[in-house]
Amino acid sequence: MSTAFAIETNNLNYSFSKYHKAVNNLSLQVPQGSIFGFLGPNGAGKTTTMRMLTGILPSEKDNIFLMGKNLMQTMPKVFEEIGSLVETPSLYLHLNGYDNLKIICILREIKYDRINSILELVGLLQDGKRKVQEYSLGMKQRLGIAMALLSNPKLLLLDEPVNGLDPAGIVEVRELLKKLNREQNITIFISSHLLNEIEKICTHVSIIHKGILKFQGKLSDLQESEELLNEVTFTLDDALISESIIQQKFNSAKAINQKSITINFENENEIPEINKWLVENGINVLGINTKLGLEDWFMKITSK
Amino acid sequence: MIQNSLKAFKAEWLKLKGSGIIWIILLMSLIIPLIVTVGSFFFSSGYKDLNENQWNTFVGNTFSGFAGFFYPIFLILIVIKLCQTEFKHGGWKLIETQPIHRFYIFIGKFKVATTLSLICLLCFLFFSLLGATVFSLINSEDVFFKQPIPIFKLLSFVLRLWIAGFGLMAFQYVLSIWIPNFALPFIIGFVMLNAASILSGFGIAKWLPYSAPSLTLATKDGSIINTWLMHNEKLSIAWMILFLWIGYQYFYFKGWLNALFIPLSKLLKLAVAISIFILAFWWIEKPVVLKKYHKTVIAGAINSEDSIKYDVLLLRNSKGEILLNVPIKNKKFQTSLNAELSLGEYFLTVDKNRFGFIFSKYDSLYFNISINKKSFDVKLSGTRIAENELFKPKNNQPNFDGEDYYLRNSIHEFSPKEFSNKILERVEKINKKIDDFETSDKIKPASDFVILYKKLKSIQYLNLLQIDYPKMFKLYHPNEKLVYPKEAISFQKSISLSDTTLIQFDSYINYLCQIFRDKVNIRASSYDTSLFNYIDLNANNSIVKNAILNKELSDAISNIRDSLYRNYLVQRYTKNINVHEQKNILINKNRLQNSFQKGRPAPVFFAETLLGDTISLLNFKGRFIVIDVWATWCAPCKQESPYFDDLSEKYTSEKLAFVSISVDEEKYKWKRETGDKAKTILQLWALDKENFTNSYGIEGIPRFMLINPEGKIVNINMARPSEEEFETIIKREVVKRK
Repeated sequence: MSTAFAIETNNLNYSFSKYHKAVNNLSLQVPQGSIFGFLGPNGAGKTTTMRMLTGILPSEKDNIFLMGKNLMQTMPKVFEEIGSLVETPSLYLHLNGYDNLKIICILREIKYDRINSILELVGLLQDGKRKVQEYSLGMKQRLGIAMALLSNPKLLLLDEPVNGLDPAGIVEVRELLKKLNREQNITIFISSHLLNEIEKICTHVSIIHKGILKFQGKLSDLQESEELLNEVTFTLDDALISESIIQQKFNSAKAINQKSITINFENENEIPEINKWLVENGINVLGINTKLGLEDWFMKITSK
Repeated sequence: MIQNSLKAFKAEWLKLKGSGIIWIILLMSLIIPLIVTVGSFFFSSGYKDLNENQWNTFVGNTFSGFAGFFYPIFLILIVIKLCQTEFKHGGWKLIETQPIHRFYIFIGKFKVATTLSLICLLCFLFFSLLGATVFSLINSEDVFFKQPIPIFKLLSFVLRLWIAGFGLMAFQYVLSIWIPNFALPFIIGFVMLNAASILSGFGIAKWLPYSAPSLTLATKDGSIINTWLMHNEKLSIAWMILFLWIGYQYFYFKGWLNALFIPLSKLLKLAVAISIFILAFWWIEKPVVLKKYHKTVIAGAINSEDSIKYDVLLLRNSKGEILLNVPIKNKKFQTSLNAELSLGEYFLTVDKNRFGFIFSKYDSLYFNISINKKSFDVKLSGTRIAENELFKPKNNQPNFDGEDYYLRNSIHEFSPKEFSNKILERVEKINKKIDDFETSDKIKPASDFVILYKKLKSIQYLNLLQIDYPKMFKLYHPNEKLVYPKEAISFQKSISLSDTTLIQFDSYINYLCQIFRDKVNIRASSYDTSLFNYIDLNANNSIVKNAILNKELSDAISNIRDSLYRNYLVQRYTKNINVHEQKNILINKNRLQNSFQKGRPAPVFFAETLLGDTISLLNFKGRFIVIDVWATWCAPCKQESPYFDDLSEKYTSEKLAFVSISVDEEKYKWKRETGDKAKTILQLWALDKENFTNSYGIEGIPRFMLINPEGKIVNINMARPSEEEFETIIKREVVKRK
């Protein structure tokens, strides 16, 4: 396997039941040095994928490669280079923050002096001796990140890392991750259901829906995606009511939310004609947009 | 590898911080010793017996309230708690994404659980010893400080108890990893623990891992063969390995299907693992019959404060026929024998103490003997362990059987058919018990002894069937003929009247004597020549004849007061005994009896008065004395006591003194019981009991003797005071004499 990818999967599959595939032929390629956004709505299979990437859920085939190494075959040694935070952080609430980190130090053979510097990094130095059960949600999240970062990993797997953080906390974590990526060239794989979050820090993105990969590539590629140019979005009074009327004329019409409807076209000249038809048929057009925002596009993909 | 397992252990250990586990351990290890210590002040008669190590007894008391129930509950609790630590906060996924193999994590957690259980046991032991110390400081009468703490013995027990918990801990561990809540594994454990204890109460499924701690508790002093671990502890290790293996498969593959069944190769592995376990189970649990030795050996060590005066004697039977003298060197003795020894009960004497044991040719037995002033204790090891344990059940197993008692007492309620059926039922039941018997080390008696012992037990019931029932039947149905069913007849025939393998057992000889007496219609304690003639003519085996004659003559010598007739019997019939030793014993016994004849000087004895003065027979010169020989433990003596009191008040005079001599071992017991006796009786405590009883030929008490003012014997074995004859003798020999 090429070592160019920090994470590579070949047709990853996982099902909890016979009829429902949580992950369906998922092939990810996460370049080294990237901040990779793994995007999808709740229940899209993000966490299942995360669990498979960390070996918590075993894959039946040898189709996961982390830092160029076969995960199932090199587990648990491969974790030496990987820090992870899957779902909610796993913390021992009856211990203090320091001891939580100490456990990781013991298991990873890290010197204890590192604990204070990492606590400082995530802004918990003052709270190191407090029991974790007294921590706020954000503090717990930051401690979880600290535990993932403790061993200076080359690859960081973070599942919804800003979940439950206040806006200031979100910014802090975001800056921290950017800094780590920039200064230490750590590959960071972040899963999130919030597009704008991903947009703000990621260099690469993949979108997953119902277990199926919808897009993978550079963030900039996504923004210039071909598909966007063949669609026009009209902002209407009430897109849901008008949808059926419009569909009689333009059968590609599709309401993507309360006020927006998309219609496909082949030639830009068609746009004024569509508009004209709408006005003639008594539908108030509040706005026309030939380019979708990432948000809308994301919504469109994931509402299919 | 060692480094990894250390890392995992260290990390797991750190998680205990602030989890409250130390308080659980303290509570568990403190509460029962505290209750036992406090309870000792109120309910215990104290720890005074020097014969037992009282530290050991006290610790035994505390552990008996702990090991069988609370300790397993504690194990279940800590195992669940350790696993819950991970379930509560998603800890599994944290430790599983660390660069350390899951195996070490899995084992590390289990090791923490076992370490905690060891700490709990050691704390429990410590608090028990502390409790004993506190108790003895306040109750200064007790003997704790006169005895050393048997620390190695106690530690060995604690370690065994620790190992006995492994099996159930591993099972609970698998449950707790599988089931992510607290209640269910606890309920399962609780139910299993109780079920196992009920089942093992019925003797079923003692191999369940939940029974192991109770079994260890029941064998607190450990194995008598040379293994440190008992079978239940070895089995506990086997269970542990099996459960840990299965649990690890589950832990690694996340789910039972992937762990054990899919693909097929895993199912195969499971089958192999279970087969290995079954083999180990079989190997650990299979009963053993000990092999014979190539020589016949008797050896042992004597632990005694006082020096031993005589050689150790090996006796062939209870009659005192000496087989061998074994000299003692450095408190040890050892010898090998070439004699043909048939399987039976032999006796070993150490000075005045006697110990009976099962032995035969090509056996090797080692006697660990401890003697102190109050006790004589023998621990056996060697080739006949199970046989001896079956023959003489340990103190804690009751020998009393309610069903036999019932049968004996309601003998008149049954028809012959009913009675014989009952008897046969009992015999069958007891034979099954004998077949099932094994020691706590899983040793079974050898087949030769099983056959012999079944016969011995059958004889007990044959006595009922052949002697007691017919006697009753004759009384209640004088005109009917007793007819037993066929089965009963064949049972009677199963014990031959000339079975030489049983010859050493008194019960067999007594049975034969009864049969012979029945045939010539001579009642017990009558010694007519026709009995001896009949035996002489009709016993169809010379060995059996010897034994019966020997027994009847020996009884005759003890019981016949007419010395002319006694001497005649001895002279006439010892000729027919062809064992030289036996003949000599009888002749000597008779000679001793003759020496007690009227007019012979009474042997001198020494005794202590209640005031502590020493007194001897010579002090009574010039007065007749009636002597009552008794002891506080002798119930028939106590029945005679009021009669003796009354007669003493009636007849005490210048001419006649009434004397009671106690042969109690402990002076305080004698003193305690003399308070309510008639003041006219001089109370004495025999000083050299052995010499006293030997010189007067006292084989049993109560014994009453009359000695004249010149110190000569008038009557060495009087009738009892409750019999009229006693007073008649007093009147004839003392009162009417000038």
